[in-house]
Amino acid sequence: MSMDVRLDVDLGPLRLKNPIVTASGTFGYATEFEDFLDLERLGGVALKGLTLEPRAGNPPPRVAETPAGMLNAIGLENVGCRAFIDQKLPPLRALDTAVIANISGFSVEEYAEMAEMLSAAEGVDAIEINVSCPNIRTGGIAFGSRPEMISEITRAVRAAAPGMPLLVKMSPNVTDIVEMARAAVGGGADALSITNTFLAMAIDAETRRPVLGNLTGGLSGPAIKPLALRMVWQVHRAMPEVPICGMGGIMTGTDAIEFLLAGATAVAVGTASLITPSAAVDVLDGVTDHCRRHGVDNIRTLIGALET
Amino acid sequence: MTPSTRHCTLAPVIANREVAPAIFEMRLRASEIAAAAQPGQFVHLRVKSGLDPLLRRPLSIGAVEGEHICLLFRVIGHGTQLLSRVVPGETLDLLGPLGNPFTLHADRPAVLVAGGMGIADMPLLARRLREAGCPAIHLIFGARTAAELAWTDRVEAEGAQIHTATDDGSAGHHGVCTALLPPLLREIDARPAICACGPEPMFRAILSAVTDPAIPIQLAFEQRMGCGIGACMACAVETSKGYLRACCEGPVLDGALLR
Ligand SMILES: Cc1cc2nc3c(=O)[nH]c(=O)nc-3n(C[C@H](O)[C@H](O)[C@H](O)COP(=O)(O)OP(=O)(O)OC[C@H]3O[C@@H](n4cnc5c(N)ncnc54)[C@H](O)[C@@H]3O)c2cc1C
Ligand SMILES: Cc1cc2nc3c(=O)[nH]c(=O)nc-3n(C[C@H](O)[C@H](O)[C@H](O)COP(=O)(O)O)c2cc1C
Ligand code: FES
Repeated sequence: MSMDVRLDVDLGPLRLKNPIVTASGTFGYATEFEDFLDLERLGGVALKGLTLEPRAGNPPPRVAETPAGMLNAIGLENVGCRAFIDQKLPPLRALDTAVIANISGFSVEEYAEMAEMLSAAEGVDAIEINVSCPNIRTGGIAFGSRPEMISEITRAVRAAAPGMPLLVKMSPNVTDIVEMARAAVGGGADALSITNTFLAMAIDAETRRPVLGNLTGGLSGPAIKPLALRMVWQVHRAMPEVPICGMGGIMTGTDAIEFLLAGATAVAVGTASLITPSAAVDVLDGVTDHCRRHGVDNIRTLIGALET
Repeated sequence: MTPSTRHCTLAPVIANREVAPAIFEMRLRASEIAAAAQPGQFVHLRVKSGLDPLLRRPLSIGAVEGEHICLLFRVIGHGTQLLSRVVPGETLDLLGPLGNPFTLHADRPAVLVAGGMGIADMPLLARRLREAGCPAIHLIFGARTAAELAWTDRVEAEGAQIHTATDDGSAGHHGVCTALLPPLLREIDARPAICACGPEPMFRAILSAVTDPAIPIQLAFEQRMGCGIGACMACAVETSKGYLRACCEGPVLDGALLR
C-alpha cells in the first residue's frame, strides 16, 4: 500500500522537489557525501559557509560533545568564494538538486561582492545569508543581533543579486527573533532559515579550561530542537506568508514533520549528517513514511498545520 | 584513499575483552572494511544508537584477520566506557575504512614508534611491511607501565624486534621511548623509514632526534573528530601547509609538515 505523496514545496521563488535540504557547514561541498547517499534525492544542498577570502579557521579543538548536542567553533574554514566557484561548484552543476550557497561577511560590502560573484556563476540556485558574523566596522557586534544591520545586509545582497532566491539565516542569539525576522523580510528576503547555532560553552573541570580552542562555540543537535521549534513557530505565527526553512536537531522524519507543523516549508538536516552521512535521505524516507501512515497526499498540507 | 572503498555498515561484535588494565581488544565482523583496510586507517563508530553519546568515536584498524577487524582501545571517557561493556552478539554501526594510510617504504628497514594507545596502529602496519618484503622491522613502544604494553606479541608475530620503555621502569628502558631512537638508528646501517603514532610530545621528540631529511617520518594523529569524512573541518591539525584534516589528509601526515 504505497500511496504517492506529493513532496515539492516552494521556498519563495525556489522550487524544491522535496522539503529536505542539508544545513550549511555540516555537508561540506556535498561531493564528500556521494559514497553514502544519492545527492539527487535531496530537495537541495546548502554548502559550507563561504567568505570572500579563504579562511584558515580557528585553533583546535574545534568541536566538543555535550548532552544530546555538540559545540563547534570551526571559524568558517573555507576555500573562499572564488575557489568555490572555480573548483567546488562545477561538479554540482549537473546535479538535479537545488544548490544553496551560504555566505558570511565581515562588512556589508563583502556580502554584496560575494552575492554578485555567485549570481554571475552558473549553478547557484539560491543564496543563504549567514548573519551570525561580527561586523568589523561596529567593533565586532554580530550583524544578526541588530535589526538595522540585518536589513542593511539583506538589501545590499538583494541589489547585488537581483532575481536570485534569497534566504536569510537567522541567529538565535537575540532577544526577539520575530523582530529580526521582520528586518530580514523588510530588507528583501524571500525566505528565512531558522535557526543557526546557539552561542554556548563547555568547560573541562579537571583542567579548569574551556574545551574549545575558541573558548565559546555554537550548540547544535537534538538539544536545541525545542528552542528551534519555538522560534519557527513564533515567526510563522507573526508572518504566516513568509516561507521558513526550519532546522535545529533534526535526526528523524518525525523531527522534520514537527518543524513543518510549526510552520516551516522546508527543513535542513545538520549535525545528523556528521553522525550518519546518509541522514538527510533517511529523514526524507521518514517524512514520506509519516505521510503515508497519515494519509497525507501532499506535504504542503502539513505546513503550519499545528493545532493549538 | 579511494573514496569508493568507504562503507557504512552494521558489524557484529565477535569478542570484546580486557587485555590490559582498562585496555580492551574488540573483534568485529566487517568483511568490506577488512578487505579495504590499509595501515593507519580508522573506523568511525557509534558506541550506541540514540543520542548518548551523540558523535562517533574514531579507532584505528589495528589488525585484520579474514572478515574480522580488531580494535584496541583505552577507556578514557564516557564513549569508551560504554564500548568496554559491549558484548558479543551486539552490533556496532561502523564507517570506514577512513583516512590517509601509511605509505610503505618496504625497500628499507622500518622503525615503528608507538606511544601508549599508538600501538593500535602497529600490527596491521607490521604485517603489510612484512608482506611487502621490508628487510627489518623494529618497534619502539612506550607505555606508562609494563601491564600496559599490550599487543607487543601481535607485532612480534610479524617478525619485528621489540624495544620497550615504561614511565615507571617496570619493563624495558626507564623513561620515554623516544630515548631509544638515536641508539637504534646508529645500529641500523641503512637509512630507515619511521612510522609513529602517539601523543604530540612524542612526535616532537622524534622530529628533534631525527633531522636527516633522507629518513622519511610519518606521524599518525589522533585529533578529536566530527564527521570523519572531510565535511565539517573539526579535525584540523596545524602544519606548515596550514590546517589539514586529520580524517582526510591525515591521520597519517608527513613529518616534514610538522617541522
Ligand atoms: C584517527 C584516530 C584513531 C584513534 N585510534 C585509537 C585507538 O586505536 N585506540 C584508542 O584507545 N584511541 C584511539 N583514538 C582516540 C579515541 O578516539 C578517543 O580516545 C575516544 O574517542 C574517546 O572517547 P570517550 O567518549 O571515551 O572520551 P570522551 O568522554 O569524549 O573524552 C574523554 C577525555 O579524552 C579527551 N579526548 C577525547 N577524544 C580525544 C582525541 N581524539 N584526542 C585527544 N583527546 C581526546 C577529551 O577531551 C576528554 O578529556 C583515535 C583517535 C583518532 C582521531
Ligand atoms: C560543524 C558545523 C559547522 C557549521 N557551519 C555553518 C556555516 O558555515 N554557515 C551557517 O550558516 N551555519 C553553519 N552551521 C549551522 C548549521 O547549518 C545549522 O544551522 C545548525 O547546526 C542547527 O542545525 P542542526 O542542529 O541540525 O545541526 C554549522 C553547524 C555545525 C555543526
Ligand atoms: S572530522 Fe569532519 S572534516 Fe575531519
